[in-house]
Amino acid sequence: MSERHYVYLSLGLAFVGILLLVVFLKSSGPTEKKLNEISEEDIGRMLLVKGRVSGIYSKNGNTFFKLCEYPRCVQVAIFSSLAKRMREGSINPAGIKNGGLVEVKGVLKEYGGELELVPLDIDSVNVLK
Amino acid sequence: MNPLLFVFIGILVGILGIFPFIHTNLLMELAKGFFSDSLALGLFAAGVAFSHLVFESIPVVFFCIPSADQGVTVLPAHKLVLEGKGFLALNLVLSSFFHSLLLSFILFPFVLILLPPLFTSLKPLLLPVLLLLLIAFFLSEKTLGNILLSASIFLLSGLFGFFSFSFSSDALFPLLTGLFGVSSILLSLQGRSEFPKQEEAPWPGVSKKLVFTGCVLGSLSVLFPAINPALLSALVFIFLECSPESFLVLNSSLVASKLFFDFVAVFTIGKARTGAAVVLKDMLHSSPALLLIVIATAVSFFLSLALLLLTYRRLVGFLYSFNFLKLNLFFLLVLSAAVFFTSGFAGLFIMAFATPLGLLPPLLKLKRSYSMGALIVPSLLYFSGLNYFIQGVLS
Repeated sequence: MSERHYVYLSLGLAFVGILLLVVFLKSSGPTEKKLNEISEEDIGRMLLVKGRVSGIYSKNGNTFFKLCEYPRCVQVAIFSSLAKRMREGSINPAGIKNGGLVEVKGVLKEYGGELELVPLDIDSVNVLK
Repeated sequence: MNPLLFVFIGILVGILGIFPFIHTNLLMELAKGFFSDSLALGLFAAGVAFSHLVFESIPVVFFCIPSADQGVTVLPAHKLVLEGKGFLALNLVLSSFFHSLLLSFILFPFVLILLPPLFTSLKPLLLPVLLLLLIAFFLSEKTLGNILLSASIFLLSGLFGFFSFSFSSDALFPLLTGLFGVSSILLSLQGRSEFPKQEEAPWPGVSKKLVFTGCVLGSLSVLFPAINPALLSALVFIFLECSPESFLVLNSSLVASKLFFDFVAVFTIGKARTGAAVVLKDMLHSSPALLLIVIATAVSFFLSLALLLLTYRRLVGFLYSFNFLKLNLFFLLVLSAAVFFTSGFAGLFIMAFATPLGLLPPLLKLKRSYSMGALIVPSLLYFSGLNYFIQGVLS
């Protein structure tokens, strides 16, 4: 292969990559689900879920609460590194109150046999009411 | 902002690889605060890492400025540059990157499956294999005198490397700069007043066997934190020093594949070996996220490669239009300043002592790879756990 071939091939492969990225990025947004629809099949997926906050507490800089929509509740874990970034971005995770309606975007994981929603970004928890 | 734009911004930032002492880790550390979205940060990291890898090849090949990833590339590349084959050296590096990454994409699904079980089963075998390779390395000398001399240089470099890493956590850059950068520049100044004229070289074919070996070694290197690519390359260099071309192909294949599989390792075994990979920890939670990063690395690499191929002659021509002596002295100053800014006075101290160690083998007409003891010995000590024993004895 000549140098010119490498240039054309690289540009072609980059172009294909860009197209693939566009397609994947469009489909990679969070899936909006109701709490009652969440199952173990969703583990590893990015979900967008609404619910009421209950049982909020903090431990070692991590904040935990239950996100509930009758009759189901799922644990939400805001880990200390994100909580710190949230505070730096003027969002106080401690400002989330019991009984408040929130929308959480996070990855569904399994911890201790229970499903757990783990937000990753500072704008992942939106207080609605 | 469209997340795709973050890949392009990453590519632009990665062009700073032209100054390889601006390490990817430093760029990531500085950039992290600007991102609130882990996906955007992940795409940016993929953009920076591969663009940096491609663009740092220019100073590594033509000006003996070692980068953390391609530190050992300096030696064979410099040899070729002095023979007027700098373009051949650069082409070998870039085409090896190209083929190695293509192969990495093909191997990706297999590595995805094999990495976790290998992580637990290979570890105990590594130390004996490395020791056997080292013994073979010394026995490759023809006379007993040379065996003893080379072993002494290796151990001396090794002890210096060990103390340097114990003394400063930022020792790698000053150590590589002293051993291979400053020493190579000083050697090239001997009896020379202008840049060696660089011949145009047809685009070389690369050995498929060497690309495959480099790619596989790169994919496996992510399993062992103590075994950095410089060490693996150093061990391979031991056996391939007679052919700088072969070494460049193997080392470049290894470096490119290692960078790619570093990203994969975050997802498969949860281990991040580079600054760029560390920022992916939050984002690589699922197979689709991994796929996004894999595609972003491909976009970054191929776009950067095309960009460099379209500009490298002008870039090298521009740099070579300066006075040879003045430019080399300028590089010595820049390297010293970069060492000072990244590692402080401790770095300058390490560089000052590493330089004569790097000069010893060529002046004694021995292989320059014996200076690699500075990387190999500390890695072996850390890997075997003997570092605590030695530190205990010394303290």
